Amino acid sequence: MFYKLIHPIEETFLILVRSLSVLLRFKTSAKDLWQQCYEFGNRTFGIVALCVTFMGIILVTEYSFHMKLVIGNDSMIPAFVMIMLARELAPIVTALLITSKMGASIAAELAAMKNSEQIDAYRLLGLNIVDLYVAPRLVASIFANVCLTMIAIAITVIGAWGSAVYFLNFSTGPFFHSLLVFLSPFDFILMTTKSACFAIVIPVISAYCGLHARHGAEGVGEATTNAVVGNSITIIILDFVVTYVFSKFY
Amino acid sequence: MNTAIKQLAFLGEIIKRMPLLWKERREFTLQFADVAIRSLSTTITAGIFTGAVLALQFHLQLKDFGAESVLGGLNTSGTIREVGPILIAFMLAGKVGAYTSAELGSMKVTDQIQAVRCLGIDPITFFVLPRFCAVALTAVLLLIFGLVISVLGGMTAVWAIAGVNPDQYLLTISRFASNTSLILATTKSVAFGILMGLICCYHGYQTTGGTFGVGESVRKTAVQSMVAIVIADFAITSILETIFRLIGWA
Repeated sequence: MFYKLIHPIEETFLILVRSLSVLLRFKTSAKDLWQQCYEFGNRTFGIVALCVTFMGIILVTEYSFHMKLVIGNDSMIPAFVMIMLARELAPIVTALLITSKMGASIAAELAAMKNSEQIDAYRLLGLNIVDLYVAPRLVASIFANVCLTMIAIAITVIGAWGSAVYFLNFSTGPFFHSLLVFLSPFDFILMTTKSACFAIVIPVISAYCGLHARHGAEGVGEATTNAVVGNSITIIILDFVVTYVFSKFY
Repeated sequence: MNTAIKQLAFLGEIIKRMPLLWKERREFTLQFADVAIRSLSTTITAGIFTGAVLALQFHLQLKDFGAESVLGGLNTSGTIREVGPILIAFMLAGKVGAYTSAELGSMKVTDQIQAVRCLGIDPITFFVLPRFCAVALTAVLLLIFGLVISVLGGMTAVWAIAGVNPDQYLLTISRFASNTSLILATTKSVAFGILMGLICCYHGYQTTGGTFGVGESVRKTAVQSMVAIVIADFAITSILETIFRLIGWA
């Protein structure tokens, strides 16, 4: 029981350490890196943009409802909405979307490779699959996640602005004024830290799930499911930890 | 867009066979119990941490205004109306949806579905119908359960970390979380549950291409469920808010 609990964590850490050590020795090929940055960044941009815009629009209307309940007017909505989005929702929604898109595909690919004994073939050639496969994805994941979160927050500003002007009869000037009064560099530091932390988790856990897949088609499906679930749960727990640590400094 | 139309047609196929569910009650019960027990731990973890993270964030925001006394109500209402359903549904889409999709997919690629068709049994009635109903029902129940857990999670987090009195936290909930919040939360849960059931059954049933195809369809399930959930969330919020405004509840 105890072993069952500890073993995945230990293995995941080993994968992380191994890929970091490869990266620090600059052993990965630049071509691989660019390829993975394209996969992680460009391929996920569409769904991230779509989902986050909707979130910005909904949050404005929801917050307006609550602000009217608490303080009677909704003049501070832009600031509250943007703080919530920057600190919390933009990093977590982006990370969850990248998990389901890229994390699942990493796990599926590795599990299929394991099933067709390609991983054993690599080992016979004296190559380690973590060096070749996980390390470039780790860099690409961090790069793409941080960039996408920043793009996402820029998009939500536009979404929130549009819905505040359209639904709540805000003017453009007061909207951006209220935004700039409350939004501080602290929020962006927290946002970047969060998205970088989430990004480290995604390829490593997915690789663990893929490499430990059972045989056959069920094994592949199970590995992919485990990757998505394990990533999501780890991300939300990490989110709590990072928020708690930062709330001490605030 | 094309996929959406095909999925609607697939939903039509399932609904057409709905009266046959009684005949498949055994399979339905088995699936229901299996999925529910498997996903219970995920739901509890997701619920606790969603509530806790949001409570911490609201606490940080409200502290500046000295409005900590309304923390409980504001956090509960904000969580169950908007952010809670989305985050917990994301987790469940990974767990419940992806699991069922992987199961159906591996049946498809190992030709079990063809074999059942050879026996003169309709595979949609036999495999898809009980799974769709089980996933939709479990997802709805687990979402509502997760939202209840998130209230407890939020209360515990701010009590342990920020020293907010739990009694006071609970006292303000009834001031903010009104009937409209509950109706919104329930409607969202039902809609997300049906969407998850439909998307996972569709992609599982359409799997092609061997072991790698199973992983691919799990990935598609996770991505599409998330996008569908965000869009449905937006649609439900705007439609219900309009209705509430028309009948004068908001």
